[in-house]
Amino acid sequence: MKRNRRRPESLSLPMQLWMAVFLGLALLYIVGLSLLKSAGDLHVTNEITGENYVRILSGRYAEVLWLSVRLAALTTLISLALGYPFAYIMTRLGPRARVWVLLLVIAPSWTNALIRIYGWKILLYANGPINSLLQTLGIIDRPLKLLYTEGAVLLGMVYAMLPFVILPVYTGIERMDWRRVEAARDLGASPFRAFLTITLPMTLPSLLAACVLTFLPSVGLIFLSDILGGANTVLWGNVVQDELLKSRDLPFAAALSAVLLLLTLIVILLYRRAGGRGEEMVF
Amino acid sequence: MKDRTPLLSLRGVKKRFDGFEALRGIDLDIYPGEFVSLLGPSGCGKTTTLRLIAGLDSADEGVILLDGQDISNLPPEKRQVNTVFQQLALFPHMNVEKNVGYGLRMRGEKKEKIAKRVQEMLSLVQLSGLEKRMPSQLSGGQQQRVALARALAVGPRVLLLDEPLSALDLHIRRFMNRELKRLQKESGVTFLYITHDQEEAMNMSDRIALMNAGAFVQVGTPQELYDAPATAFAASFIGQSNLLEGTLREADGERGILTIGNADVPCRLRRPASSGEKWFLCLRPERLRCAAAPEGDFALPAVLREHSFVGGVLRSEAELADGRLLILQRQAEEDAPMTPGQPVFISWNPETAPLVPWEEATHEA
Ligand SMILES: Nc1ncnc2c1ncn2[C@@H]1O[C@H](COP(=O)(O)OP(=O)(O)O)[C@@H](O)[C@H]1O
Ligand SMILES: [Mg+2]
Repeated sequence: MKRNRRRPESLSLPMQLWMAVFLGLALLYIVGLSLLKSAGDLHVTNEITGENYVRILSGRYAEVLWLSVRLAALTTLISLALGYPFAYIMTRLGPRARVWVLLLVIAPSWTNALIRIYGWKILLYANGPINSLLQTLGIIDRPLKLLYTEGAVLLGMVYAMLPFVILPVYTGIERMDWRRVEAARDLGASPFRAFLTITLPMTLPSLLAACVLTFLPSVGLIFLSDILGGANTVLWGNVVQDELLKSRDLPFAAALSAVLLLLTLIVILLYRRAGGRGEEMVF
Repeated sequence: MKDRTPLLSLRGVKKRFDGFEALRGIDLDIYPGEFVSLLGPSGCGKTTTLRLIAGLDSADEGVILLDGQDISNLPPEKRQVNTVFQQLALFPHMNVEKNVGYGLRMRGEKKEKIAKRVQEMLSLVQLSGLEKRMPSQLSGGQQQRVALARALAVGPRVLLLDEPLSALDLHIRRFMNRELKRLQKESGVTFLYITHDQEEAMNMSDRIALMNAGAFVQVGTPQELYDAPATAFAASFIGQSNLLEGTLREADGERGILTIGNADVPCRLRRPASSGEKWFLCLRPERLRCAAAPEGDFALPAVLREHSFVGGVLRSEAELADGRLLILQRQAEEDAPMTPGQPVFISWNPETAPLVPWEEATHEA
């Protein structure tokens, strides 16, 4: 039924042009760059070569990619596990309470993300509030190493990504026709089975959208692993950054970016295979 | 019918929404195998009644009994009643077969048994062969049948239907009316059918519970409601009627004389009435006689106004001496041709014209 609302294609032409020029061409430029030979210091020769990719395949990059994907996947899973129930409960609140909770979810994004991550850093310091509290309560003798761990990065990522689960899922559940859940109860389903067989499948599109919206940014996050993970947690984004700003090897950085691009493409294709149409990403 | 024990009973059921009284204490008994309609205008509390029976809402006062057991506090999944919802509420991510088998799966029935029952249900609603279709690939009427099969598959003691046909075109609706009646007879399941369409209710029901503003106006067979409406609302909501205000001049047992304007007409008193009281006389358009000269004991003089043909039936309006309009309905060929503007005399059989309690403001159906 929603499909019938499709607007005439011509109306979206300016938008498509904009995307083609500023996104499509830029991406093509990166892929093109990745096939050139570096002349050092952000310069390139016009010799075409595949050796940048050979270098990626041979180095420790597979390890970095694996860690990035693993952390992003974990971030997605944890965010879903926290965000879905949160969004579900939100839809069951009264209209006034709902507005306040929604505000609490969105309000943090009004401050700079960097500042918020530094906030976490302060909390996680060896002599920071969390360790002090645990020591005062006598739960631990010595401060725990919280900062500069994978766990800290994961915590920061979940914190940053949670709204991107809560908002689409909230919209998805909010749009759902509760009468179908009532029909399930009427036919003999307990509240829990009605949730599993009706609510969950019917909100699956928003869940898929939340996966994409969480996973993709998580793979590419840079400053988060810098600040909370230090030198211990090197993610794909950090490698790209290093190649660009430290080694100043433009083509190689482009090749690394192209890998990320490919990953993005694969995720989007999987999303579409699963039936996602992108509608749920607008909220 | 009355000597059997009721299958479903409502006793003094009340429901409020934020102080608004949606149900003001309703009582109803439904007997096994009956087809009972809950008829009333939109917003009178029909859906609310049904949701209370299904357990989707809880009553503020009163009890609901199924087979003599108080089910008021059971959750919906524990009540042996099933519902065909107004908006159908089919499961969009399941095909026809999965939709119809849903209740049986929830009950943990064996696969073979479910498959067999689903086939039975689909052939009952004449949808065999469409097992694998998704609800979105079905027409409105077919979706209707899936919803019906889904609710019947579980074997409810009472099937609750909330205006299941209201989204369909008129001619499909009338066809589905007959289908539903056939289905009810074949399955033997007790139906509680909600509708705001009096024609539908009259066609299908064993009994009708006529509802208005959160209360029952009258409960009875279609014939009873038509022949002896309890209130002016009942008279105008069911069928068409002319309600003429009059004062009882004489009341002698079952016989009375009613003064309408400056004419006296005989009437039959079916309930206690005394002279001097105001009453409505309920005249059904098809029970009125219209003649060029007075016939019989009495007749109201009038002037013929509009004519119109509707499906072989001639409908006309006649204006009484005091300016009130009467609607008449006659078979087209039956009477001598009459022309608008012509003086006529209106009469009727007093036995077929019930008295209805007079009230200040009358409702228009
Ligand atoms: N959940 C609700 N909250 C507030 N008012 C309601 C609710 N459900 C029904 N009502 C009100 O109760 C009255 C009866 O509604 P309903 O039973 O749906 O009527 P019907 O089915 O006869 O059209 C209406 O005035 C309606 O506005
Ligand atoms: Mg209703």
